[in-house]
Amino acid sequence: MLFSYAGANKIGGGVVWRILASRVGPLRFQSIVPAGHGDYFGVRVLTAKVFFANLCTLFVWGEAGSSGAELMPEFLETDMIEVKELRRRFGPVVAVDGVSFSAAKGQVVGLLGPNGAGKTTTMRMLTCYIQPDSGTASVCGHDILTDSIGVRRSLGYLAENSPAYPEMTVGGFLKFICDIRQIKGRRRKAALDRVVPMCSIESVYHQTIETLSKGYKRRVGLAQALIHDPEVLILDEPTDGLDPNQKHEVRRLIGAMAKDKCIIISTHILEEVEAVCSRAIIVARGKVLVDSTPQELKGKYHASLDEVFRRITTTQAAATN
Amino acid sequence: MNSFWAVFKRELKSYFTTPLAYVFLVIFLFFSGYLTFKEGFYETRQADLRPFFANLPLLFVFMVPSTAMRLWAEERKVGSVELLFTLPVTITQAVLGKFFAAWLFLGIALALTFPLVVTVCYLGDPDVGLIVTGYLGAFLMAGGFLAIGCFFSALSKNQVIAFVLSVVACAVLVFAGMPTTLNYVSTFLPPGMVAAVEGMSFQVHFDTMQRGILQFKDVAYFILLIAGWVAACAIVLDERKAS
Repeated sequence: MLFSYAGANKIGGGVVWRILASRVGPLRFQSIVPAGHGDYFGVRVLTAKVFFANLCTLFVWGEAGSSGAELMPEFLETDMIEVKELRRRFGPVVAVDGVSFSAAKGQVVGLLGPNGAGKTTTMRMLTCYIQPDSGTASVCGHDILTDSIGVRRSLGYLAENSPAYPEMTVGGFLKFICDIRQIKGRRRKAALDRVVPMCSIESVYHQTIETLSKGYKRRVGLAQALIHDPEVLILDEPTDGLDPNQKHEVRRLIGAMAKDKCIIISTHILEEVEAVCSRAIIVARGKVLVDSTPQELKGKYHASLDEVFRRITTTQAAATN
Repeated sequence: MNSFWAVFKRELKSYFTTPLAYVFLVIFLFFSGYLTFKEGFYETRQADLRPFFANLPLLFVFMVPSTAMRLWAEERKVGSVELLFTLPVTITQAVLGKFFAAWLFLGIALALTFPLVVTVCYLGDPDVGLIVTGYLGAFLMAGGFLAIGCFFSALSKNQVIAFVLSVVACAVLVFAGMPTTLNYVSTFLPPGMVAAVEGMSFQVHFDTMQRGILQFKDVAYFILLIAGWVAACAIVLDERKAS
């Protein structure tokens, strides 16, 4: 016997849970969250567009036993990042050519691609650093074209090479970020106390940033991105140039934050995708080639992720020419 | 407005955490004092700051672009511009924050010339109003030069190019009002145009102020000049920040 529950339509102020039959007609399948909750053998997470143009999530979970399933609102998910047909060219070069995807809370999305695939450009458009030629995107419900300040408030961004002000001390720099993000007084102290040990930068707190090694600079950049505890994190090659221990540390950090944030990382290190990402989006020449999970990819091609990546980016890129 | 203050504070602090501020202040104070006494401060036997103010435009042509050149060029070179504009700051807030921080820094440099004021007060009985309008004019003029420097700094990633271009632009605006230039220009331009060239120059507007005349048209000239160049800076920066 199979019971199905679907829910979360916002009507007025309250959330009304509706019990539907096991049929899931127009709903879009999105991802599978592994089981591990008591009797439940699996939880399927589905999204659908509901009222107020908000994206609310509907859940359907089956149960093996005959007893009715309970509502589990903590599985409520919304798409935090929604990218629609982003396009950007630099002179004759089309850097990003109609990229669309969406990502929800709890997901770690890995943007993979060869050099020059348009990963950084996509991220820069998402963080409102550059404007798209066409298409749009929204972050936490803020549109990048019409509400760029809202977008920038709700996300944390670690840019490539983690830029910072070299003449400032780590502490001074983080305090500047707090100032600009309007974190003051006791909240500022709390934020610093949380973020500094989290990124293990206590030992360099009073040093100027120009004297730091690449690994420490990266961690300062990460601390800067995390200081306001954002719901969406965008990290451009977060482990680039780190030693193996630091890489492990950063991945552990991402893994620990994954469940209550939406994280997008770009990388071309495939082991990293297997280690931290719950989804892999492969881009080449500005186009999304594959949007899947690392496990599915490996299962589908019966090969290591390296092999899969090579096959997809070389054959499909050749096919588009 | 909070983001404005954050940018402003950081920028002003950054002058004093690098040797830049101290090098600038020492050189500026030395030359402003040296030129004052060299140009006949004692010989005129008058207790006023005329010789000091008369040399300021020429000194500013070199000194102000040297503080302005780093404003955006350095930010773009280091890449921190990407950090700044992915934080919740608008271009206007960032441009104004940096501009006012640099302007206040120049104000501090001007304020540190107070020993000259003390000197004239000790030597005689100067006209305080004249000194006040002189300083006000000097401060406004510094803002004008700074706005030009700020624009060229946003134009180029290279600080040297930004410096050279803004020195040339400032020099053109200063020399446009010099009698030699005006004499030359009047040989081939009608009088109305000569007056227009003169009116565009810093020199004329600053001269009336250091004579103690505070006219609306002079203040408006500086305010418009500053607003125009700073707005141009914001537009150029928006275009070029990512390139």
